[in-house]
Amino acid sequence: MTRRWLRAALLASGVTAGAAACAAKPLLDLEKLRSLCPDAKSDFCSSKVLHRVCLVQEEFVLWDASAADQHPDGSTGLPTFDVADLKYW
Amino acid sequence: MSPLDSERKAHLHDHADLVPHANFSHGSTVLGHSLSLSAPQFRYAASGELETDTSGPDFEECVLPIIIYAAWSMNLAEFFKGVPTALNRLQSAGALDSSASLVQFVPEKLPMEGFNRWILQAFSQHAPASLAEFSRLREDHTGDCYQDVVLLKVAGGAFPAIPAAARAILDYYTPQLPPSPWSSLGRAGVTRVLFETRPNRAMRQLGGMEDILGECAKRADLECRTHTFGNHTADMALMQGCDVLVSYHGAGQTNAQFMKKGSAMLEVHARDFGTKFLWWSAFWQPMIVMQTNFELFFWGLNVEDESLNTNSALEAEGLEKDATLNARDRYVTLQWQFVEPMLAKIQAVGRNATTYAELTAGHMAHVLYSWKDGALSLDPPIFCSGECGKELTVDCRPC
Repeated sequence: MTRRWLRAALLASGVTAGAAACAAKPLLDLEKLRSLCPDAKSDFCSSKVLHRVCLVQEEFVLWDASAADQHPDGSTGLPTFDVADLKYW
Repeated sequence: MSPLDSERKAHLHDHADLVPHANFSHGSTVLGHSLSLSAPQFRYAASGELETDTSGPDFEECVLPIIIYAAWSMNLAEFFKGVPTALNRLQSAGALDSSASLVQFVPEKLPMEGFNRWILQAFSQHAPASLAEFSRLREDHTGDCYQDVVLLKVAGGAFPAIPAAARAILDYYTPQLPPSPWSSLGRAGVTRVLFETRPNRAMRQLGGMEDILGECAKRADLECRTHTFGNHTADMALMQGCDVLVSYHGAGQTNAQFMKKGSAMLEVHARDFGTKFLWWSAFWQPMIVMQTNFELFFWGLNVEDESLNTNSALEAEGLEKDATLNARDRYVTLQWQFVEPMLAKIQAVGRNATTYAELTAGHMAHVLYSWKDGALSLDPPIFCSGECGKELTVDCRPC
């Protein structure tokens, strides 16, 4: 799985290694995101940003040991993300 | 098959004709159940996956997945107050833009709703996808890797942010809108009134509509019609020309956000719902009106006469045993003798926010009338305490 894994996105997306630059990277301004959440309690302020992550069948595969950028406390490691409040009725 | 699956299947098998559907179809699939949802599954790459002679996978920098975890995403109203409001705020603040890829987590691998995709599309250049679709296993058993992934958790939402989000969606879809179905559009002095027919006939149905539409047709100053929401772009065109939406409490009322500023919403409450269960009936639409500074005007009509109330099919079949739900879901027969004066009051206020605010007597944005024993009376102003946005803790009662 190793090398196929490495090249999967490459082959699928047509982006070649080392030439992954796109015309314009999608905007992600973490400072502005955090500025909307001064108390980190309301609305979307428990959101997180993960760096260097692969997605396989709804599973998040983190590449780096310190992969999780956990807002707001910035803790690292496997992120916790409580969705216990997601209820269907 | 899990016990939950078995229970769900049995429920559908026995009562398929009574299960709500339409504008939140997989809400129907899980009616009456709180799913035991696990957190998103995180793990570090396995050692085998780390065997590499390079620095690692090619982490895509040109794709930014925003993976949305939203409470009650199968319900249009809940989804609307949380997700487009958050996306609009993030984009307006310059934290994100429309080049991000919007991906929605749906529990139990259930499908996204049509309205999920329709709403998300207004905030991205790319087609929205469910997380299951987006993270599908490729034929070579690999996945895709990204430099950054945003996990957007939407737990509550924000009523005050709803109008701006609705305008963003409206702006996106306006070029695609079909012609308005209102024949009186552009004619001065005509109030266009829409009576919602909810798609699920097992609860919350307005009766007497044949008489209401017949009486309405006699009036040159009214154009009335019934409608079932579900074709989103057509719904939007309809609401753009609508002055008054008459409906039960429900997700379909979200379409009112596409009415023009100063339009009216008349919510019909079956017996007890608007008098005994104010914590619910007074929370949603009245609170939205209050917190959005009178973008729309809310009017409530409690139909208390027993003869005009009938148990819902859900209650009659024993599927609903909660007093609040039963009150919410009863069938109500409308009569012109109290609908006409309500419409007259709404016409008299028009789009004048000052006049409307005077009626609320400085309390909750809630003008509530009751029809009982052949008389229509104005209820006392409603006072709601509690922290805004904290559902189910709001304590609403007559002053």
